[in-house]
Amino acid sequence: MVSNERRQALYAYDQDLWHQGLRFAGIDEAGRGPLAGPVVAACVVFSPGTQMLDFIDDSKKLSEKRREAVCEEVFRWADFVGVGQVEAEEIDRINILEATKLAMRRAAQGAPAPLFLIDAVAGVGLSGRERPIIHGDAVSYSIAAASIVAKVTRDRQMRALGERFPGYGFARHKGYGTAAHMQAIRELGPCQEHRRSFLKSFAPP
Amino acid sequence: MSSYQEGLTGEGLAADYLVKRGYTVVARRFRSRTGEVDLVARQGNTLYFIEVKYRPRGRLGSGLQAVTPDKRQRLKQAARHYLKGAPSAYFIGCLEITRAGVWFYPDILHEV
Repeated sequence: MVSNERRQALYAYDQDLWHQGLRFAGIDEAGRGPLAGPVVAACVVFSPGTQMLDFIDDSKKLSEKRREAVCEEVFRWADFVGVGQVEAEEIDRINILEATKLAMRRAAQGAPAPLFLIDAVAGVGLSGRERPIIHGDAVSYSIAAASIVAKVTRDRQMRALGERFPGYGFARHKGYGTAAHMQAIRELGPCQEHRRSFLKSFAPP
Repeated sequence: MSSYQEGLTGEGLAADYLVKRGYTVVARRFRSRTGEVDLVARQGNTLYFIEVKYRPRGRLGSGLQAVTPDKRQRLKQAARHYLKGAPSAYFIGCLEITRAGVWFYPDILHEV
């Protein structure tokens, strides 16, 4: 269960910036590690003093159902929400770090903020000042919100891919390299949503 | 307020309007290589890909009019991309906010 103190601490970090008169966006990504599917980034801007939403916390600690509910609240209350996606095939072409940055730029396009708080990635090339924060989704409320939006959006995409490419179990593992997923790739071969550049290390594509 | 900021407020208002009417908002400002869609909402098993037009001083219908046939086709493209080819029932919609209030056109490809 998410502790209330944690949520207070997240909110306090953003509140502090609001009190300094700063307007900023939180940015996070989902899907850097998996063997298949897109990398998805989200960018969220709240108005200073927006009410604190329940259960905003590290996206990995919430149940899938809870994350969906929180995501919808973010869509409802945030001033700006942008989602950027980069497909597996683009990832193979430009590498995962560059793809992550590209997804972040797509997500942040048009965000009304001169400052971007970014989880763990530096030098994204956004239109404003960038502040990379390690474990940012456990530090800033806006990054935590972005992390939930990114994860929920990507998980939905992976469920859709699961319908289109049955047999790999995308809906279950979301493209991550679980034993079952690796076994399925060995048996079925990769599909067009697999990142070839990620498969080289364990099986020839 | 700049027209850009007004656009943002429009999307927030639109999301809130849909939630109050029992839709689930599943995406806001979704961008991939092929296109952009302002809002994606779901009701039951049906998805709505929605262009939001914020025209607080405009007449009823002025937002809808601004969604050109070309834009409709691009929305359709974005929808296909978002769905990743998975079979799903979907509509292209437009939600306009004018001085006449909020108006949601759920299926602008087939009627209007």
